[in-house]
Amino acid sequence: MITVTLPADVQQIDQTDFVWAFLDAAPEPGRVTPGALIVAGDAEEPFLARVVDIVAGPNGRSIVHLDVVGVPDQAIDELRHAHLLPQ
Amino acid sequence: MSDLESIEPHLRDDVSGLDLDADLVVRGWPLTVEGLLSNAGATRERFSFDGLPFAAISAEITVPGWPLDEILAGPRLRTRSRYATAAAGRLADDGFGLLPTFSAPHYSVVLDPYTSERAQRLLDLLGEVRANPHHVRRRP
Repeated sequence: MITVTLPADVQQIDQTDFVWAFLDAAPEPGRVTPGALIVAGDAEEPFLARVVDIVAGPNGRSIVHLDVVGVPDQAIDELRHAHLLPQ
Repeated sequence: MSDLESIEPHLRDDVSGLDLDADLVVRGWPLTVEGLLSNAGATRERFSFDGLPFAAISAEITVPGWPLDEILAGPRLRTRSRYATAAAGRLADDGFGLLPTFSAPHYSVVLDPYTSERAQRLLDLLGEVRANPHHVRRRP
């Protein structure tokens, strides 16, 4: 079963032009840190993203900005190519 | 609610350029009631419009300079294997507000009321789900 690190909607942008999501939606918020490469979106069709920053949002909540990198398969392909994963 | 961020400063002034007959509203997978409600729910927990929580779904519209292929091949939609579209006028005729928010071609499709029935109606209007020819796939 696929578990995304941060549920997010890939079309949901804000004034930064980055995708955004609430940090408290993450099952393990500690995995979501600036610069981290994470699996985001939904379990059916997740996407790969880099955490740009985490900023203050409404009612004491934190907002995560995501730079969409691609789909997880692309990372798997590259890691296999580099022999960092089994072929 | 008082802590919500007003959406008004983030409205573009290009709404008059919307061709209701020709311009297409584009929404990528997941095209589900749950997905739409989740998206609109997050928006209304962050933004307000006219002082009230702003329940709206993020979409992109084929406004001038943004043909469908370019949207589907863009950094966000290329991660979606499937998508659906509807003429902007079809949604407007059904009472869905279309607000040009943030950077083009992003639009907010207002979900009022914020109910599963209204989300299902939007899915019905979006119609046929199509494969995205620009989806990034694993190399064979």
